[in-house]
Amino acid sequence: MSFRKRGEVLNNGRGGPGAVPGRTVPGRTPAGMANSNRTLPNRGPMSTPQQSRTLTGRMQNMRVSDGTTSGAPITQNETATVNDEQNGLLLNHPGIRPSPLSGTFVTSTGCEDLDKVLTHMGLPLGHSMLVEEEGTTEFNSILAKIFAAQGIVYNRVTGATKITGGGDNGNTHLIVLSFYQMFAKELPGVYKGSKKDIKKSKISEEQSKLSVQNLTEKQSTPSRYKDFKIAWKYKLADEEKEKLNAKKSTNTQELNDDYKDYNHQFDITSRIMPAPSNSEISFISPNLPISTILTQVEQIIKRQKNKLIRIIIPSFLHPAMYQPDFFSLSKSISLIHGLRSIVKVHEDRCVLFATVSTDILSKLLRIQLENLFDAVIDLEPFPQDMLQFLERIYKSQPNKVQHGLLHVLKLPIFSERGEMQVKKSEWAFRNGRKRFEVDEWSIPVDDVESSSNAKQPGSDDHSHGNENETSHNHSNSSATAPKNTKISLEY
Amino acid sequence: MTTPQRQDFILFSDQSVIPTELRAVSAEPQHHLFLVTSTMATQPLWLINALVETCVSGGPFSLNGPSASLKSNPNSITTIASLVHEENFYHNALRKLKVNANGYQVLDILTNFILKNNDKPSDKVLDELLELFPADVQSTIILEQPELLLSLIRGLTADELNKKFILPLMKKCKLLIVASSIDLFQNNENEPLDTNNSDVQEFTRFVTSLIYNSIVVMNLRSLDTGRSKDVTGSLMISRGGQSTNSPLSVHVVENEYLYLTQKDSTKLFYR
Repeated sequence: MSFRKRGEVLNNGRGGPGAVPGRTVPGRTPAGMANSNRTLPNRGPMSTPQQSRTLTGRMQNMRVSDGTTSGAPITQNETATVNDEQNGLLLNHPGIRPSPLSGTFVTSTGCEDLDKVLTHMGLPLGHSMLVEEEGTTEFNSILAKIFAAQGIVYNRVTGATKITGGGDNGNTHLIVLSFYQMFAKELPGVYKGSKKDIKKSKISEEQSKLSVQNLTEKQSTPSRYKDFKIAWKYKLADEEKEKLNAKKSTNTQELNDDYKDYNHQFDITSRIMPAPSNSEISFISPNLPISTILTQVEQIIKRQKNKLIRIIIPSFLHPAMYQPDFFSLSKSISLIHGLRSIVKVHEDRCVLFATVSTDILSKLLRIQLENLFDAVIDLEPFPQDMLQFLERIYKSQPNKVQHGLLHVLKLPIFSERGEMQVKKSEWAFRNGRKRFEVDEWSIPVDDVESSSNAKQPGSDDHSHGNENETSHNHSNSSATAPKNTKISLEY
Repeated sequence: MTTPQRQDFILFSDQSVIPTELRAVSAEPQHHLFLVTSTMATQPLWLINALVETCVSGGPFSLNGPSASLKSNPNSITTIASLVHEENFYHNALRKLKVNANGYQVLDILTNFILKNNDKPSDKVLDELLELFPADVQSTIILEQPELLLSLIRGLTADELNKKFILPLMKKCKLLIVASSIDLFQNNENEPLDTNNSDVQEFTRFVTSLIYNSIVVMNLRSLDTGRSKDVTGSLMISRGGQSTNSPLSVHVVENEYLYLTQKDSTKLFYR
């Protein structure tokens, strides 16, 4: 232990053998150092801003002067820097992770269940996805909004590495092919939990604050032990349970910790705040000539260097947004073909997501569109009578009522490899306030119907007097059976 | 439980995929067309790879296993061009199969096709496309989804596409292999094909003309019963319209295989 007087300057302000190692905080300059010419230990010689400084390693060919970087002869180093930046984007971006199946980099669609259906835990970079919907419902637009909202949330993840390019911050940029600019303001916000969860999080926030009361509470035993004398056996059981839970959650936690900002849950009744700005989202009107649209997309991608680009086409060919000539093959297919080529050129940081209602498409146009996308999902909402049937069956569990079937027509990477990945009627979807869920589909058993059928033989015993009527009941449909039974009982 | 016996992929009566007559250098080469038809559920990458492998290495080793008797043809180069897949897609797939990269080249006609050709007349677009292909009458050209040109070039008809692109391309090489998508012609009771639509008529006319001009048709389709874990689909080999007029001394062996594609390997079985 050493003693020194307050205010005594160590080593006359110079770094050297006598300097205390580890005293400097990385990234911080002590007060009063900014204007002095003192050299900090382990930081190399410091100079005035006017002087140029020499850098080491692969940066040695670069000269930094007045805060700007002037390009000296950098050929190999430049390419190395570009590659490093790209690798940095892939490694540090919160919305990019490797596919557990193919190892390719994928990004989330914003819907965790849809990511699972795609089997890669997301949409691989350089790939495109089409969500089709039959009928007049608008489930596809929710998926488009969630996809867009997820991109905005990546941009706002706190603590995530921000790879800057062209001066503005952020790691993700959205390109929306639509003239409906309110789309940006209608994006759902992140689900913050139920009222209870919000209260709990507020309490834990308060507890995490540094105060004398919190510190004493942390060190003390749980209140349950203080309140009354508890049998030592129960206490041991508590401890064992905690250990088991900790072990179980370790593996899942490790995975979640690695990609904790990869996927978010969105509340479709809320709105993302603040609304996305022009630096986060770009709109391109689909009513421009195709070559202009493609050029604008290309320019935006080039301008947003080192950012993940998520191109969205919500409600493609919607008659309110697209002119009638878009229904000709030469226009719509040319546009998608052009976008596909752009996505493939920028395959390391670009994805395309489109939704379309199939009722307005001819078979030829639909097949040609599906042909140009790497992944195709078809939503088939249930008709009204099916929904009523499900509501009746799941009377006590309304959360289980599904809204339609989800057919997989194409999966990225696997389908183009030649694998047969068409899965029809294997999945069902349900749209809730806080989640778009996709479950395995199975036809539910109607307990009411089966129980009424089971009761029917019993009714035969009571109606011995009228055998003809009983036999007639058997041939009738199950819906009329209980009514007839009642009549026979009264008789 | 016994596993079905793996079968070799054979197209012609001399037990070959591409007969030696077609691979050997000849003073007056004939021009032939093979047609591969597929659907969205059964895409033809593995079959195209096997055909490229046969052109470059002498046989479809990825399907049939190694064979010492088959020899490569170093005289010609195989050209692959696709309107739906980028250059890297084929390079990566063929690199995995360890196909000699000097034996083939990939033409990128997907990138910027629209930006380059948006306002040009159809004749000029087709001429420029033709110029991209090397004029080597001993070579093989593989073309994926040329029918997309009917959608991408305004006003182009099936006859024009045939006369101004497919037939001149056939004359540029010894063997033209066309892979075409036939999802449009799949039977679907819920969604019948509108045969009065002029676009549908052009597509039908184009694919029909390809079938008539080819000597062999390889049709990939999924099982009628739906998805199965042990079978991906069926490969049906049938004679094309020109098989009887062909000067080749060998004939096409009509056959039907079941096949299973898993990861990067494909196995064939007899039906």
